Amino acid sequence: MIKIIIFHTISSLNHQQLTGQDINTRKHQAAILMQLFKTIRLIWTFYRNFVFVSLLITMSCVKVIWETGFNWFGLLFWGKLATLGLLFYFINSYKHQEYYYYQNLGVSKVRLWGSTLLFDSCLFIFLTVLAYKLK
Amino acid sequence: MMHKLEADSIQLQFGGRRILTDIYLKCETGKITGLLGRNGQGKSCLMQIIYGSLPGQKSVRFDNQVHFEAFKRPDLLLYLPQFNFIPASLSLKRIFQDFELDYAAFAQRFTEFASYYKTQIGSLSGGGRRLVEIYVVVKSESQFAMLDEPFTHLNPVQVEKVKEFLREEKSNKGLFITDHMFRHVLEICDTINLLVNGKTHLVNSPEDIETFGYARL
Repeated sequence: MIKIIIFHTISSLNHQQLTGQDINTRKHQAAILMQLFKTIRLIWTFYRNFVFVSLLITMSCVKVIWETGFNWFGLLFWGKLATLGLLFYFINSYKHQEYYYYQNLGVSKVRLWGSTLLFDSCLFIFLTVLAYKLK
Repeated sequence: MMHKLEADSIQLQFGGRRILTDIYLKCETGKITGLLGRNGQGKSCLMQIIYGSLPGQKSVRFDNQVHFEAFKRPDLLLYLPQFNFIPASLSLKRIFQDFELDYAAFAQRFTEFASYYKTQIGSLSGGGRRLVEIYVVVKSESQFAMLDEPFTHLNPVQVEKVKEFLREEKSNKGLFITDHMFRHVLEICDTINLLVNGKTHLVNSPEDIETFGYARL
């Protein structure tokens, strides 16, 4: 999707009569979008290290909520956070060399973990609440 | 454009043992600066402190501007650690896309990689993997690149090619290298520093290396 937007931004430069300043602004916007796309792709590459295990745990929690209701939510939430803590420890122990790849491309360790943990937690809350509401 | 990287006032100690105390390093565009030292003297730690990934008291300046976390600025400094750092699952195509580099130019220089465009880096030999890592770090747009043991895992032919490559690339950026293959380091570096007992000593002649007890020539 972002790639399409970038493509249209660049190609529109060829079809419109723009001043030099407009062209520079559009190029700048395209560069920002390109950087954003690259950053998201790098974060996704990092997230792939543990997304399968994390989704498996989330879906197990969703199943419990589906079958027993919202009574267990508190316990499941803290359980989910604990497993994320374990995954953090595991990745830091066995994959810490790879941080340099992301850092050399401008994505810090804090940004990698911040964005993936935030997304994973939000996904957990969204799916468990959705399971509760749909039932 | 000329750029200057300076590092000094670096202090590092582990459990009361002082590792780095009296450091001064300077790296400039167009020059290769070498760092030699025995195992455990703190060469890698020094590089990590400059890069900002290891906390420590320091003054690291890029064109006289202080930067504590250079790792957040890949346009200023890129770092090749002594171990493989590129995720094994990534293809060479993806790596070159990420670093915005032209694979054809790489394959032209290192012809053995011509058919490896879609190959995962993890399936390459140790030397091949190291070569890709050196290339992307040195060739990417940044003012400086720090290479920690770049010649490790490379065969003699690859070492010669890398030396030639580094000599060419120093016109675009400042390079800072440490490696135990000191003869290669001596050959390509414009300035050599020797790290002994936490202090850096400027090497004025190859004999200094023997005098400081690092190696026999």
